[in-house]
Amino acid sequence: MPPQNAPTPMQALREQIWGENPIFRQVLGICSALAVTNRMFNTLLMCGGLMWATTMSSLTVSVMRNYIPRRVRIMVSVLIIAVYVIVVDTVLRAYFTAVHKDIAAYVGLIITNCIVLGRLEAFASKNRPLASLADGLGAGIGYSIMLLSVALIRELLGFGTLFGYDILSGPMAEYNARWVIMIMPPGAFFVLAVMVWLSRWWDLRRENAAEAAREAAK
Amino acid sequence: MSFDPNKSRAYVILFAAGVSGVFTAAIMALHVATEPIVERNERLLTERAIVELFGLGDVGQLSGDETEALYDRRVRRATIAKGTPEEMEVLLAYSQDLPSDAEGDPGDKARLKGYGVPIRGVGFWAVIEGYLAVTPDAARTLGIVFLRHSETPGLGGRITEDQFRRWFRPGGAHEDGLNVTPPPQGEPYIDIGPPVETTAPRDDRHVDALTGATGTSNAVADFLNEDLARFRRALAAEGLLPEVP
Repeated sequence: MPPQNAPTPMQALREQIWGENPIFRQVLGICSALAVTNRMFNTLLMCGGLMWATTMSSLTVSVMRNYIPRRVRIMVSVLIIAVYVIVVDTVLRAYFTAVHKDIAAYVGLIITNCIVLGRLEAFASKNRPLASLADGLGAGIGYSIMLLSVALIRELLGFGTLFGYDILSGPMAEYNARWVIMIMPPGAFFVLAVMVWLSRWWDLRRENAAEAAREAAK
Repeated sequence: MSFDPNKSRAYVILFAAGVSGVFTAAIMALHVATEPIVERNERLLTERAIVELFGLGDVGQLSGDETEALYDRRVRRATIAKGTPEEMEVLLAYSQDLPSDAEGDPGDKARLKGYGVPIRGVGFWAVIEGYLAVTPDAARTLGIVFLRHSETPGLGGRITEDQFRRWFRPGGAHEDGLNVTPPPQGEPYIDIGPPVETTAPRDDRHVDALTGATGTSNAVADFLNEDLARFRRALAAEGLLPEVP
């Protein structure tokens, strides 16, 4: 039986995209956020892989939740995640061989990404399949939005390009300072920290405005 | 009465074994189904890279079958300095089509477009492999390609990008490609280092190192110089170059 106050699929989706965003609220999956975000293209592929893994493993665990013994639930969850990640890896190897050579190391790391296992444990193992699917998809989207935002800043400032296309050349060349630190992992620390700060500041501002409105209504 | 999966120990064991078996079988089936595609694509990727390396055709315009056919007509593998300590397998790229049964002749300089020297060494993380293309007189580079590496994408991984590879191509950073004739005693064939703004004579051996990937740049410089020296010794042992002093 799902919990009494089980969220609807839409609530679960929305919550993971913003309210409980895995990166800036839960601070999960930071390792890949640091590693892959100096190129938009690599980040996009990583996000696609993670979105597939969280969505499908959440759905599978939810469907099987009433049959999985508690004692082996982590083993089963990791097995399910690994299967979906191997599917991504195999499909990339078969149909996008060149791309696979670039990002194979990171695809394998999705198995150990705490977001995926975290959603299975916290949500999919207790809720209905559709809500779990939405929760997994929302976590993937929330992760992707943050990572792509970080990658956008890092690639633009580090390489002067976006998706490999020269942006800061020609008349824009004078703005192309090429910050080496943006290419390197410490650059992700700075960008991510600023983004977490900005998003929390935005949330706090909204909460304060809501509070003020409530006070005024009294 | 609802089913409780936690009560029976036998159920736990059977469930774990069953789930493992089913998912493993699914993965094996997917692997078997895609294996021929993976093998063909990996071979095609290598052939495409070599066709592009020697400028044998426009790989962007060629289909997979056309690339394979072009590779078969124009590229051969050959062992030079056979039976000597300098024995090495190289690629031979020809400017004309060869009959399908023709073997590669490393001494056929009239038709030879260039040699593909295998390059291999340990990068920042793991082994890097590829080919360095050089002219038939082994004096200039024609290009470079990396077929296998595990360098960090966006950092050392940029060895595969045009910005780095253009240093090795004629008409790229150097008009005639890099100079790979024997350097003065104690100096490297190829120098990969910080950008230099000078017109000193050694300029045509210089390649700009990758920003933020000093480890990879140094590793590539080390194995390129070792492999080039080995290649010249092999050519000399084959009688295709004067003896290296």
